[in-house]
Amino acid sequence: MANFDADKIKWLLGELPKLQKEGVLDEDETERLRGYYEPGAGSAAAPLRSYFLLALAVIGLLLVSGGVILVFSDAWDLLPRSARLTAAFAPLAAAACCGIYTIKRDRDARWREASALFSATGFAVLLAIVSSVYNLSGSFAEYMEYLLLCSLPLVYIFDSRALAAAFCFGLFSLNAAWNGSVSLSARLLCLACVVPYITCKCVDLRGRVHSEWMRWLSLVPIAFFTVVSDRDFILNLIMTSFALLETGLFVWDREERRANPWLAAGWLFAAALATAGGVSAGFWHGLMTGGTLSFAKFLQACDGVWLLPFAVCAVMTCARRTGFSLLLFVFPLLAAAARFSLLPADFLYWCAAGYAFVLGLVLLAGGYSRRRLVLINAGAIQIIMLFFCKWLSADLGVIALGLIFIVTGGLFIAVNVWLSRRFKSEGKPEAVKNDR
Amino acid sequence: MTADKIRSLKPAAYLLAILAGLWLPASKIISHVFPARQPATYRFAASNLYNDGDLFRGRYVKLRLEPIAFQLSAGQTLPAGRVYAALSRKANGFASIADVSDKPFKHRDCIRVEIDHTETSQGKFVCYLTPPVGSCYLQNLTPQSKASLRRLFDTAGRKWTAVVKVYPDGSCEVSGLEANDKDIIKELQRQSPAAR
Repeated sequence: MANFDADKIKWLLGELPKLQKEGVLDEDETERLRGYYEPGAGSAAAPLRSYFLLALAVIGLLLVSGGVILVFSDAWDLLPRSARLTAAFAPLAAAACCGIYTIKRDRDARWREASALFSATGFAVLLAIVSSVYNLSGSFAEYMEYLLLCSLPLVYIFDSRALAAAFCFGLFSLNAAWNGSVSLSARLLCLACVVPYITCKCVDLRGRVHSEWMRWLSLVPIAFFTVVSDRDFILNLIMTSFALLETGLFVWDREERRANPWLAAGWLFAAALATAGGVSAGFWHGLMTGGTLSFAKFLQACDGVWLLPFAVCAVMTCARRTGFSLLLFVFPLLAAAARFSLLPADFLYWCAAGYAFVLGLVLLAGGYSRRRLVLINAGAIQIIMLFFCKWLSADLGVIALGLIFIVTGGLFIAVNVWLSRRFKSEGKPEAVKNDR
Repeated sequence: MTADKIRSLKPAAYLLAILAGLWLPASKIISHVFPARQPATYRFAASNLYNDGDLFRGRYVKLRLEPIAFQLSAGQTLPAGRVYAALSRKANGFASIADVSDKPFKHRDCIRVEIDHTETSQGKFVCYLTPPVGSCYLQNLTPQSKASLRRLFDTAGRKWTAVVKVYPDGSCEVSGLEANDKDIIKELQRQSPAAR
């Protein structure tokens, strides 16, 4: 039974006592209706779990494919130019076939999401390899501008929440254009084009399952940024992403019967703020070092606004006084220390890494004790990203790095399958939310 | 517009989006394979040769060309955003900058540059412009040759020169790297069994 129907059934079952009380239905009719529809309501967990497992599979496969690319890249420079160009166009060609199949056969959300991401990845691979083969000059921000412009129609054509999420994170990269090669109007245009879609999904109260799917996919761009970017430039983005993700997870975990707009709203807020901050070159740099900024007062006000929602979230969530909720308090403190240079930058960087590690451990432990795969994976991915970011070095060699990626991805998938089966055999499926 | 109508338009919209996305890489390939005119070769003094590395490319050597001074004439300003520099050649084959613009020069060799820094001396405004090039000179080298190249870079006392092909669209490609006037890349490619 489709998730849409399951939601309707849940609503209907909630209405039955009222209808019985008001005499519209008698007791027998109510029981017959309940007996008929209740099994369908139980199936709501099935699509949730399938989306969730699909998202996990995507993350695991990305790790594995990253490893394969690494192994392949060892001999990349020795391939002839024609072979490298063929490799550049192949993913987009395959993605186009997949996309046409999805549209023609009117496949479900999983196919649409996968086709949208596949197509966007095809564009990313194509330009990256062509740039490399022909040594095209250009900045990372310009590359991302191309990628965002190519991805935008795909968000709407495939109705892809995952790509919309990745798009929001991609907006941050446009602020890396120190030389002004990406204009403010281009940044605002990119933001303005995706705002209607996200706003629409934020108010879609039936989107609970999709919200979760979208949230998990957002980990991929976070991992991307964590691995490839300069640490000082990106520290704020990493911390923002962690806080958004975990605050969203936490609130979502509490409010099982309502669609959770926290994360999507957070994306929108952070993307808008980063774009506005891009009015002055060096927004993130200024956050870190207090460097010279053209609109220093404006940016300081932005900083204040930026910290405020996290402080409010922390106060709200601390009502429960769990280890996790108390940890949320640390984020604004670290951000304030970074903004006002209260601590040495290197020390602060290690503090931030330690903070992310402890958060990961808390999520892992909390998730396991409550039999929640969602929380276990949040913690695991956080620790994996931290490990990749801080301890994997190019000195290891691409073959060794590739094997590490492959083994990590394989382990990630295997542990998820094992835990999922174990929790299921214990009679506590992960999709069932426990009251605490 | 009905849902059926929207659904029927989706394949065409998708193909259009794919074709639009192909335009930039395809145009870049075409401009390199079939350039409007043959790329010209210039020599640039290279500096900041240093080892770098990341997870996906492993260890590599990064090349940065030395900034070239360009004195702005009275009333002339640097373009905001992208800057293209028209090149002229000195007697020794090294490039100098003849003019700057925000668009590629149609009938002159030009290269896209980044502003390194600016100076005002004796009332004259001088900007220092750097052509951004990457590590493309490492292509077609075995890992062993790359390691040899890195060791060479770590050795002090060499004067490095990059030989750069300049295309009509303002892009460039490093075709050679000389140390004390000896072409190191060709030497390493000769040593490399899989060199092309």
